[in-house]
Amino acid sequence: MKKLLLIFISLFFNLHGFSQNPVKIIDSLKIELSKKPDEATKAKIYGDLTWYYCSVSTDSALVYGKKAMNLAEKMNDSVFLAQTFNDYATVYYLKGDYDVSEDLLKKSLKIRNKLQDSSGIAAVNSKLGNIYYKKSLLDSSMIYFLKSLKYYDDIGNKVVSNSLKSNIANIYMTLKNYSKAEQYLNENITFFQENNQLEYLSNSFVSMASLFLFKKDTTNAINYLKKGIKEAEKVNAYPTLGSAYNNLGTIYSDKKDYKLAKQYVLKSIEIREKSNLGTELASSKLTLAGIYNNLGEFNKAKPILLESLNVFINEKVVDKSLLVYLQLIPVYASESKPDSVAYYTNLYIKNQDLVQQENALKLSSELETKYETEKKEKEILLQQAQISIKEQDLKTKNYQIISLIVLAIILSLFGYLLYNQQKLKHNQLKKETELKEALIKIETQNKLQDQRLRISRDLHDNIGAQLTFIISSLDNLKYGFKLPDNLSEKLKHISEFTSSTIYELRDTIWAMNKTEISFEDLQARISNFIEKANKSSHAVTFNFNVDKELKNHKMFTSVQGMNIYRIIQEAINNALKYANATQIDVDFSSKNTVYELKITDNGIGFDLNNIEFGNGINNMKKRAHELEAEFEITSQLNNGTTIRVYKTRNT
Amino acid sequence: MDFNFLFSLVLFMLISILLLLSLKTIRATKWQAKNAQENYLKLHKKLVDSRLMQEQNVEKNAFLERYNKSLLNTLFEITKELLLTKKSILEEYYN
Repeated sequence: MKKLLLIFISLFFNLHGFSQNPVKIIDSLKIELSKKPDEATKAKIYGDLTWYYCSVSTDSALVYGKKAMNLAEKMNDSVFLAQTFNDYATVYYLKGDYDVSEDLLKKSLKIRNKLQDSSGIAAVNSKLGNIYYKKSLLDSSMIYFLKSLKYYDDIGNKVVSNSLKSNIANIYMTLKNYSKAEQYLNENITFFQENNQLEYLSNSFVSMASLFLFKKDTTNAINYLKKGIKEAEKVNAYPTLGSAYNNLGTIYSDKKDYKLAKQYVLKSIEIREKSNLGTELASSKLTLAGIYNNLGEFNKAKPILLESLNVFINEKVVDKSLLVYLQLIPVYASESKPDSVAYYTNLYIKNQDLVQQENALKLSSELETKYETEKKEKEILLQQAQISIKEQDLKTKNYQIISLIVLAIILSLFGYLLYNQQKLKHNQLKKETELKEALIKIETQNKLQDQRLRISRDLHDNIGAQLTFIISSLDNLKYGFKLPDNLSEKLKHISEFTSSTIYELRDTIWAMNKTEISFEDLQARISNFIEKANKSSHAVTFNFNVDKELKNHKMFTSVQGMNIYRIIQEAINNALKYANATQIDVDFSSKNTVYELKITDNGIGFDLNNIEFGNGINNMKKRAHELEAEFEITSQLNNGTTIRVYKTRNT
Repeated sequence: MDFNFLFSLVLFMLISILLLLSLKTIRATKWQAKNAQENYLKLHKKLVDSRLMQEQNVEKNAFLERYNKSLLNTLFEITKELLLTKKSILEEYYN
């Protein structure tokens, strides 16, 4: 137990990482302080000085801790106040005043709980674990270590988490659950070796040595202590070195190898003097005094024991004081002072009783606390069950409210969809009705127009028949009666005029019977006309050419077709009648954006300046105008005539 | 049966039914819109054709009106010539 306590001090420091050279840091901090910084910086420097003085002088640490605490309270800075409580608690811990340390840590924990500072809470929990271990409250110690361990495991800080495992291993060691302790320590050693964490590794070796010491395996204990010393020396881990040398001294003293034991303990005293750790130094000195007693050098042991006793009494370390009393008995016996022997024997017995009573009180209070805790836990469980039922009920109600809201939303959506559908239907019906009405109106008008066309057609048929009858009657009259020449000529003229009227009528009927007139229709009709014309005059070569593109895409309305036909007919008629042409070319073409109809003959032509156009040309112009096209005639004497009718596209 | 459970069940069923109806309505609306569009296009095409035919008929009728006037003049001319010839023949035979 004695050895374990020593290890814990080193672990307590290691968890928070002391600097390797605190004196230098303290000097630099004091220089900073002399520059009269602002309050916040000053408070931080006081805090740092408290921390670094822990390894140099606990009294100075206490002074600066107090200053830091006062300043933090004045500044009303919760974060800093929690930190100063924490630092101040560390100083008291090192001084061995665990009650004050615990009180300060609980104050710090309260503030950090309010601030929800998880990392700070974990650090305080770890320190509380150490304090409870010191106070032999192993259950509480285990609880606080586990709480802290959970946090460091969650954030993945494996170094601190393994260091905490080392503490837990020590608890198992105290509980004599050596296998569990060994398992934890082996895990630690492996991890620290892999990650080259020498300071922690040295601690783990020292802990492992303690475990073997508990198991009375001094050989392995010595091995691990030597390993620990080797690693600790690499990183100047003085607290670990101090406890390792002291432990080695104790082992060799038990083995009655007092020379070696003395050597190790002196080494431990030397290191602990450097660290200025009062209680720990007194412990090493107590070990040395024990060696002197065993060697019979009581005069050397006495001053050391008295010095240690003062420290233990001041620091209220009762168990160590008991050991000092026990060591002082043989010293005074050697001096033949029975009163002193009796005095220290009585002190020893009295204090041991006190310690036992205290332990019994602690145990009973612990049991009572456990009982109260269990009772409260049961109440809490009951309340939790009630809360969970209420929560479930609330959850169901929330679910129902959400469902009702969803239902309302879907209902609105459905309503909107139906409204939308009806609106669409109405709009479509309206559009359709409008279209149908327009269609009916147009169709009615079309029927009317059709009727007019039919009437015109019937009229034309009738007129055609009557004109044919007139021609027949005129022919009969001409051949049946002997008429004078002038009358015969007149009858012939009337007959020809009537014939041309019939042809014109037939052409009109042809055009009006068609919805559209194609180039083929035009060609056939014009060819038919030329054939008739050829019968009455010399032979004519007639060419009708249409551009491929036009042939495939262009169609004329019956009126357009009629006008084009009449223009061509008039041009051919003129070419045959007046120009004595032997070749007539009709070309339909489409060049760039212009549609063109060109009628060319190779007749005698005429001089445009010396001719007055008759009805024929004027009619052609008029028809071209109706087609919204331009009309152009070019001719030269003996060079034929060209008639061009052209229009730009999309007009 | 627990009221809460029954209430939740009814709510769930109502939500499901309404969702189904909503989906059905969306589909029906889409189908209706598509159908209406097709009908509209058909009618529109028919209207365009009818308008074209109307334009052609109007054009034909205008043309025929002009032509009929000219034909009437021609017929009058022929009748006049025939009457004058008849007069000349009668004069020839009875004088």
